[in-house]
Amino acid sequence: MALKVTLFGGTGQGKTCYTLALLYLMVDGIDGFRIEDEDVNTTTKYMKPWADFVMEKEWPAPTMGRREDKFRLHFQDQFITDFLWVDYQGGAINQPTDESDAAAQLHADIQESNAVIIVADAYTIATRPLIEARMLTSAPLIFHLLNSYKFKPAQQGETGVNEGITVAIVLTKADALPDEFKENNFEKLYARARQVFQGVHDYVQEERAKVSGLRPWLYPSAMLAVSIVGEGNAALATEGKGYELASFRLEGSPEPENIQYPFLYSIGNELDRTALILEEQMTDLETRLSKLDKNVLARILRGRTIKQLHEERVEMAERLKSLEPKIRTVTKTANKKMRPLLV
Amino acid sequence: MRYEQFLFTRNQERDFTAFIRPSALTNKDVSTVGNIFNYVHEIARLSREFPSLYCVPIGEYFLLVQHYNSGRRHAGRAIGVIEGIAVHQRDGGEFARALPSFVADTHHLNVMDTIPNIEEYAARISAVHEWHGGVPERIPNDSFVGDFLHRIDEDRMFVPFTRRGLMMMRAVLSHHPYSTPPLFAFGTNSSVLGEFDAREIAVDIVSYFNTDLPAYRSRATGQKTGVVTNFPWDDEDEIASPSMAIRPPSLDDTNPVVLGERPQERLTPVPVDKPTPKPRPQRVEPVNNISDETPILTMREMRDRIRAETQQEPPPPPSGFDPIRWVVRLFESLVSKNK
Repeated sequence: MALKVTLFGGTGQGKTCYTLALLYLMVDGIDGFRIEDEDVNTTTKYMKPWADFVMEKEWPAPTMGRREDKFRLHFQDQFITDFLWVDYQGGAINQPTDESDAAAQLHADIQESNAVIIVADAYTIATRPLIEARMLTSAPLIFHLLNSYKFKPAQQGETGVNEGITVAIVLTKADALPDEFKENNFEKLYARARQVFQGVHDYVQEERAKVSGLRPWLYPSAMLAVSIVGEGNAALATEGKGYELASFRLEGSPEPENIQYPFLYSIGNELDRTALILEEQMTDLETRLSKLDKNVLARILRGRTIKQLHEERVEMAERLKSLEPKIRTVTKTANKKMRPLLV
Repeated sequence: MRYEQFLFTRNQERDFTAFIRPSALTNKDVSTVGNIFNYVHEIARLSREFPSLYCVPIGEYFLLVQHYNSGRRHAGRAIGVIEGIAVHQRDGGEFARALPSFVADTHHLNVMDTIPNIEEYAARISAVHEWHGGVPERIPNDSFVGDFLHRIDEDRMFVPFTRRGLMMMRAVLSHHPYSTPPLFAFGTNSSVLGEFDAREIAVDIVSYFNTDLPAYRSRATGQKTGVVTNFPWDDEDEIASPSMAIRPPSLDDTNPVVLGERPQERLTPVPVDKPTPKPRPQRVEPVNNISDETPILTMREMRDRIRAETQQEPPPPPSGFDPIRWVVRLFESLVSKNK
């Protein structure tokens, strides 16, 4: 079974650019880590818009749909895990499931995801009034989705692998931040991001508290300021106003910074988290899934029976036992760079 | 012929949205369109004057699509427009006869201009329109079109994304009273074609952004099976397809495996006098002292630490009523009073 990592966030936050830069870096390998596509054409397809971005200095077009691709993560040429990478148009968060198929699919993806990478525009977070930053990053709706499909079920006593989730927040466009937000290793940015993503922050904080009935390791959560283009390679073109986001002009050749760490954090901590849960108990999947909306359940099962899905997860538990040293390598690398969501 | 209109685009507030949609086009169909066109990365180069054109079945309809750069931007990114007409598949014969007229004059596909302000527009269902256009004039080229029709079951025809390629496609469309319209993707890439194939949409005529020479290719293998000959329109001088402006000529780039994805060679840049760039203001470089900080604990480390702390903590003070302890305390107090 492959880990499922869903990348989502508000529109214009930098999801597509982040995906392109990540693949560009990890195809060749970085820090000993490398990813391979299952279908040999997948990387080529991602690399084309990245090449256009680098050569033409034109930002990739807004994403219009959902994209799911299967990859394999390697460390020093040793296989670590399969993973599904799901990328979304930002607007899918803002629509009810009965109005948008993409929205229904996003809900199913979140429910089924092992880890989520939330992409948020650091420039918006830093420069807009707090309430506008929360709207533009879709922070309340992000919390709403996580709460509906991940947090609330856990509080209601449901157990199993899906009881928790790994959350990595990628703060894009960090190169463009006003200097005050860069000082002391982006201290002010991180403080602001905690306010913007207050819902996620508070939930994780409460669950980490010792008084919580839930185990504290259910929600690995961290964030990192990243830059797709690198320091000094993009200049502000227009300031944002209302729904319009600030736009930037690419002036130099992109030099991605810190891109790989949120991804490695998600994979490593999710493997770690899953292993910990599976060490303790197996879930009664049927009970939990039977409570889901019919449309959402159909998308999760994709033709499989609940029993088949359960068998896949049992198989994964067995495999995870043998993976612990490799998992530790991934988490150690990522955790050195990532900053905690909680302080 | 009855037809409806559609307009998919985005504005500053709303992401990819069906602002105008045919009445029987479902949310899933809209999502399919979005997922397919998501693979067109060249949107910035597509112009309203020379858009990409598609004729494909989606849901209950045949969609005749034009796709181009709106000129609007969101967060610095070019916003595309996907618009056109939708005809019920049951009316495929009528649509096939009208198709050449729509392709000859793409003004009929323009829906965007009917909207006063996309930023304030609320999504709605299309009205039903009647098409009363006459039978379009045939573009005579029997030898070329005959060859296409002879091969259509086995091969796809690849044409350049130029006015010449468009003329070739129009010749095919205008030639024959088809029972269903020929399907085409004119101005696309191999990823999009792959998405059509995955949905069993068998496109007959293809033009990739970097197709130079017309050719036939096997539907099954993608291998080149023949060249397109006997086509008189070879005057490329008047072709000014914007999307081709940066594309150098090459011998044959119709290979489906690589075309659409081949790194574009660049023409020799014309030297221009550029003003000396102003030095960028000095910026405060972020101090990367991360490695000096304590890294985040892994979940396993966190669990183990919590377990260790729990074990080290002294047992909690007794709470609640303990009858044995009460008796002991009572005895102790009585003894001490006696002293």
